[in-house]
Amino acid sequence: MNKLIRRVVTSLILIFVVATLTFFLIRLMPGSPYEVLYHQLLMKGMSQQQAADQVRSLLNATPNEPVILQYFQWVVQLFHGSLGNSIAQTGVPVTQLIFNALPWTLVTVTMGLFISFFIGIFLGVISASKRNSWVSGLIDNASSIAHAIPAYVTAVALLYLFNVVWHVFPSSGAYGITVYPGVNLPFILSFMYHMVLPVGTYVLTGLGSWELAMKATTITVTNDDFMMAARLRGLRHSTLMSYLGWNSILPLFTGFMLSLGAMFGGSVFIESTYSFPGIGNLFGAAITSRDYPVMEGCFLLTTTTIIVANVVADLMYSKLDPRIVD
Amino acid sequence: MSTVVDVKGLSVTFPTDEGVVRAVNDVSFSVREGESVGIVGESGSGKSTVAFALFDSVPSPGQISEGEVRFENGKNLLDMSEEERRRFYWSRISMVFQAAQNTLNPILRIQRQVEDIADAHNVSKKDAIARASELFETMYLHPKRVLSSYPHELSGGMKQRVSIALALLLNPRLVVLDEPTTALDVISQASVLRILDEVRRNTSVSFLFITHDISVISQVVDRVLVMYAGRVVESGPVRKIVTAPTHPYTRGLVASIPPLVGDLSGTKSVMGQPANLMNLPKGCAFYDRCEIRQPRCALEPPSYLPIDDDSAVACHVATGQDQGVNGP
Repeated sequence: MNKLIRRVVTSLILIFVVATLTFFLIRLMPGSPYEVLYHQLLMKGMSQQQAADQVRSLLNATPNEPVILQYFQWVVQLFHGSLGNSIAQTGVPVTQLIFNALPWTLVTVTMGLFISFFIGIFLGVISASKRNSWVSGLIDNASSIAHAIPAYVTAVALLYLFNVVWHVFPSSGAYGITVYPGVNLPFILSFMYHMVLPVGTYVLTGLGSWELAMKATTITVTNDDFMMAARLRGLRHSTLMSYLGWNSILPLFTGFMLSLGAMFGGSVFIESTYSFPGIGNLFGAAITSRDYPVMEGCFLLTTTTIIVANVVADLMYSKLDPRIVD
Repeated sequence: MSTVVDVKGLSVTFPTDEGVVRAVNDVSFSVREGESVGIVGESGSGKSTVAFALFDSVPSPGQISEGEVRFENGKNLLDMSEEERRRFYWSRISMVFQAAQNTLNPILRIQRQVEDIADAHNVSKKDAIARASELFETMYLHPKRVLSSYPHELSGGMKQRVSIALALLLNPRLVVLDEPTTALDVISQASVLRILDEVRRNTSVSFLFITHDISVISQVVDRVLVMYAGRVVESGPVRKIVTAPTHPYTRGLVASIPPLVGDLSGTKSVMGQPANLMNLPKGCAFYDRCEIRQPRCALEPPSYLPIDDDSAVACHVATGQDQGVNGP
């Protein structure tokens, strides 16, 4: 318990440090939303003073204010549970934008990760058990290629094939215009239909690394002395498979948890391609328009998920693998 | 005394890129009920391969090219179906492995591994746990503690004893022990050997010890087979082998045992290199290293012949086969 509290506290500090770094880093990017808005207001005929006041009231910040002061304001806001308001979508709280976008990404990313993990594991075991035949070569090469193609290329390729060439799946959005979001069958079906391509992209780009990792651990464990011993003990085939399976999957578990966190970042290219209204899309748009508060919010979310996933992986691993003692 | 295992004309070959390696060459022997037999030989003599051949589990790419292995005058093991063999393993013949430290599933408690064996052989889990506890007790292990431990929580010597207890769990007729003490420190070696000796005296189980160290097993075996380059070169009662070896290789092995007290001037190693299994000589495989070799030894391999009721040897000189080499 003591250890848990310590982990939570250090994680919070870590999240805060990363958020602080990103706060300053994104301000090093060329161009700024304050300048854009300030100049827009000047063009409308406002005096410099009026324009500056307007920017301050709209953005809750002064354009010429030293960055360090902006930072302290942001910290005070953060401790009040606010991430500020969007600049591009004037006045809309960042938290609201994130909460609107989060469910879409959460569902697709989680589904994509689980499906790619299970297919990858399955193919890895097949490849390991047939490692001297052409089947293994085919699976390994296909996995390597799928893994090597960048996600945005896969996304565009799938979009081209299944939307432009074959008109099978929709090109954008998370659900059709005729359904209402909520717990109802037409919406759920429409959502599932719309998420086939994004999820398919996650699966295709993700399964390769799982397949290759699983094959490697499976072959290692197969040759371990305890597997030979288990065979000679006359254990049932199903028991042998469970010995092999658990010992092979365990090393992949940490990677799996970390991917769960990291895929929020990876969703930028995929969601942008499919105009899917999730975090990735929000993030991408915010970067383009230098929408600092939204960028900060998205960075904070990504950082938090990765760090939390890391802590959860650590804590769970010691429960799953008796050799790890916490 | 009935025969527990009967091996006839066993040969194991390993096809490699450079040629076929004959790791085991026409080996025959049998183990009787309650008997403890040792197979000694240097690395590469084929002794471990014989042990795995008894389970038809020669490491890949090795294969049993000839011979038969019969348990209790039953069916040839090599003709058994997969499922028949699975049930046969451990309930009739079990093994204590060379690297016993690594032969337990690292992520399961010992109790669960005992239960898995019970489940595989249709024994009630309760009975299996009771039997395991009893065996742990005789091996100076705390049953409750060991059962609830993961393998990494036990010391090397404890794991070896657990491994021996698991081998005896289903009361098999034959236990094959592949270098059971090699990975242990001398204190643990002594205690493991003492335990094995007790088991041997108190039950009718048969042991087949595989070792390179003739001195270690001399207290726990009745009979010894000496292997060299894949063949049995000498066999006989342990007392006779240790005090009056016949084959020059066995003599070398015995002479290489350092005395417990006194100086080492009488201790000699066997000179030369082990025979190359890929390219065995036309005559006796030990020819190059032999101190009593005769011209005939380079020309034809010696046959394995009995020299009295309970011993046999494969040596032209020792059996007097060299007589008449240049005769009429």
